[in-house]
Amino acid sequence: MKKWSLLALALFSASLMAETCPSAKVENSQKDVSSATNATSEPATGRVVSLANAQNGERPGCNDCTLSQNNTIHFQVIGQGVAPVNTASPAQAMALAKRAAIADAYRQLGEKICGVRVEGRDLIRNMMISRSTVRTQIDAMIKNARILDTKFKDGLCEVEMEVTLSGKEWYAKLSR
Amino acid sequence: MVRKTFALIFALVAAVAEEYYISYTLVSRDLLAISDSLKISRAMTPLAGDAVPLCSFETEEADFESWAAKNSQGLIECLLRHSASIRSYSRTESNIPAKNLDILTTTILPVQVEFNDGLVNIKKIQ
Repeated sequence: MKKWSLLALALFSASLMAETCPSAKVENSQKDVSSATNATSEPATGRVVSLANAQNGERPGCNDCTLSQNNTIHFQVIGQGVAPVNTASPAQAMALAKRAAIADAYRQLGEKICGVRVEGRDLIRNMMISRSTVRTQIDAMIKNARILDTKFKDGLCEVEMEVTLSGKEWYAKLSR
Repeated sequence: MVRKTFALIFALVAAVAEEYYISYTLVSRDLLAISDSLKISRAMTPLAGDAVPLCSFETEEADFESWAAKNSQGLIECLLRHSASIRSYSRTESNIPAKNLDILTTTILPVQVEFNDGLVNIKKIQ
């Protein structure tokens, strides 16, 4: 009986983990900046803000970081790309660095909007962890993302990108 | 009379407009672009559907292919703004990042391109 209940519990947790696109809850990572910026807002503060409240001049609480049917949230990320060494000209290196930065920015947006599939494996030998591997996977489609700013410094390109998500249009689809 | 003239002008512009399929793929490993390809193919049969403006650029070029060869960055940004699919795979071993691979692709987009008074207009066909 205990075995069956354990098996049922394991199956339930596996089905929860198999969800590909969880609800549009947004969290910050250390690397990127996700912030709200309406037209007159202050610089990036490292979080996502509901535009509905920001327009009223209120600083929203953390509950407003989640998409609902009535609000609109703004995702802003900074993608980074490195210029390759073996290029024909510095201009080509800069163009390639910018493209890599764009791909990184899209990855971060996909991570925030559609979530990340995480798979962890630990190999234990003689009662000790001999290998620990974590694999992550993102699969997302993003429309109407805008490039706000591009900076080059010391072979590193940074692209600031934003996308606006309207709850009216996307809440039902993302909360499935 | 004026209406007929305008209709004739629009018909001529539509006849001059060229139709293409465009796609773009970028592969980036560990924040380094390792491969990218912008593919442009002229449509072999007329594309059916409404043309929706996507973006426009100033140019002195006479045809789309030579313009796209010189302004690929602008064209790529225009395509990516429309839609982009991102697939990313990364691996961490013993808490040390081992590998990260990002594949950015745009869907194959049917477009109509018009050249008017030093302006190239790109319209999406849907």
